[in-house]
Amino acid sequence: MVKLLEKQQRPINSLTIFAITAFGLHFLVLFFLVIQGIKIRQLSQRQPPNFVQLINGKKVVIKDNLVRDPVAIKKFVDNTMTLMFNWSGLLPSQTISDRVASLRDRGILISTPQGGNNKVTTNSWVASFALSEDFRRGFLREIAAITPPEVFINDDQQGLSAELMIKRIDSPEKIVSGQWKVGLVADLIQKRRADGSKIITPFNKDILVRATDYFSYPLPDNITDLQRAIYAVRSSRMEIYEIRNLCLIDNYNHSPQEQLTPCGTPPNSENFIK
Amino acid sequence: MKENQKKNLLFLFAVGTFGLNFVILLLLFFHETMLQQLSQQLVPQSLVELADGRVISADPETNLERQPETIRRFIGETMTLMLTFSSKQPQNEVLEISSALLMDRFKSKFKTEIMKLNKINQVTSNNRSTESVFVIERISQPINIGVGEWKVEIQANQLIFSGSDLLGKSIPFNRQILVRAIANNPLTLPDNPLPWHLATFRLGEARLEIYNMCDLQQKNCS
Repeated sequence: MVKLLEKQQRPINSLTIFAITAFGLHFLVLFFLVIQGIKIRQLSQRQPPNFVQLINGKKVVIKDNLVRDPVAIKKFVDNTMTLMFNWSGLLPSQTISDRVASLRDRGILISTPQGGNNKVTTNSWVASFALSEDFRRGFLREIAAITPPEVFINDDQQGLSAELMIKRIDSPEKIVSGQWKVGLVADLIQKRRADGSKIITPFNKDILVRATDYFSYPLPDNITDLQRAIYAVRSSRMEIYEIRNLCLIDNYNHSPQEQLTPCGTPPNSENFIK
Repeated sequence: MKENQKKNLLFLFAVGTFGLNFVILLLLFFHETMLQQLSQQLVPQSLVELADGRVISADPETNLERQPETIRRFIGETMTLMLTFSSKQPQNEVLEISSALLMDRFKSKFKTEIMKLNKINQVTSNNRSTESVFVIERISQPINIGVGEWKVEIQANQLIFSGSDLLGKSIPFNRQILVRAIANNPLTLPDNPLPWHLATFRLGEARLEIYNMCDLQQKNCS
């Protein structure tokens, strides 16, 4: 009996060890397979990534979009004020062929603060969109009040034209982040077309500029001329929100805070154009 | 003799199975390392070829992430498209198509709000001489309010020019706008797309949608 048992146990021993290890390995393999299956499923369900443009090997993060180049600010003030007081009586030229034979400007009718209706030049009207919206309408009305009607007369005897001769634009002075003060020294020269006689009015102002955002209309081919004119002005991403009289005297005696207060006329005064 | 042969065969099988098992386990380990690589693979500095022949390199970000400028431009251009209208840009049609960029639940609320705005300001979109220009003053930096959700404040004016009134009437449009990232472009182009379809499709490529809009002062905007 004992002999029989011994005889039966011997072959089982080595085989069982193999069988058990093989089974154990199998189990391990199954375990790994399940884990990998889960991983593959997760990978297959993973949302595709987005891609962000790199510039010089780095992601570009615009931290402060209130920064403007001082040269750009000066240029913006220059362009806006020149256009605002460009009372040539001609329409702004859009193409080169237009420039050869500029069309006469018939003006745009605007109601003046005094109650009447007066014309502003198309140039002034276009430039007015570079002003902040709360300031634009009042300012344009003022411009309407001071624009001489002779500008629109197509007659060399009575006609009149005017332009702003800019003598100096100061470097922009930062008030707070995204707001600057720019001093402008200029003369408004009105010239009679008949005899060339000139009237020169000094135009010395502090111009307060702030940064704005601009995003273009998604369909540039589908816009009207009016919208194109407005968006062209707005694309400079700056606007003028106040115009004050420039203090030419005592410029050095003021503390920085006092410099911000206009001298002479209070802000938003009616007669900011003298 | 016969039994011995049988035993030998059985033994061979056992060794074979064991060996095979071992090989499979090694193979699985190898697969595991490959999977590890694949799950971490984010294709850094991918090459992107632009239509005009220029190339840029790009880094991946997760699916629900968006850069602040992307969100600001999406809101700026979407609102400009929706609120600029004239005889060339029929308001109802533009609104109908571009409302694909709004969440479904928000669409009707937005439309009634626009209609109310028009009514208050006596804007009739059918009037051919009426023109509206949407002028943006500021769009704030987006604030993250959840996974793939942002809040942006917009300050803008809608300028209305009707008939001979070229001084214009300005309607302030100051809102908080809530946007969220979505998986796909909300618009599929029809066979004969109108310009508005193309513009909306291009905006939808940002895979963002507007899901709410409130006044600036409102505190519980979500």
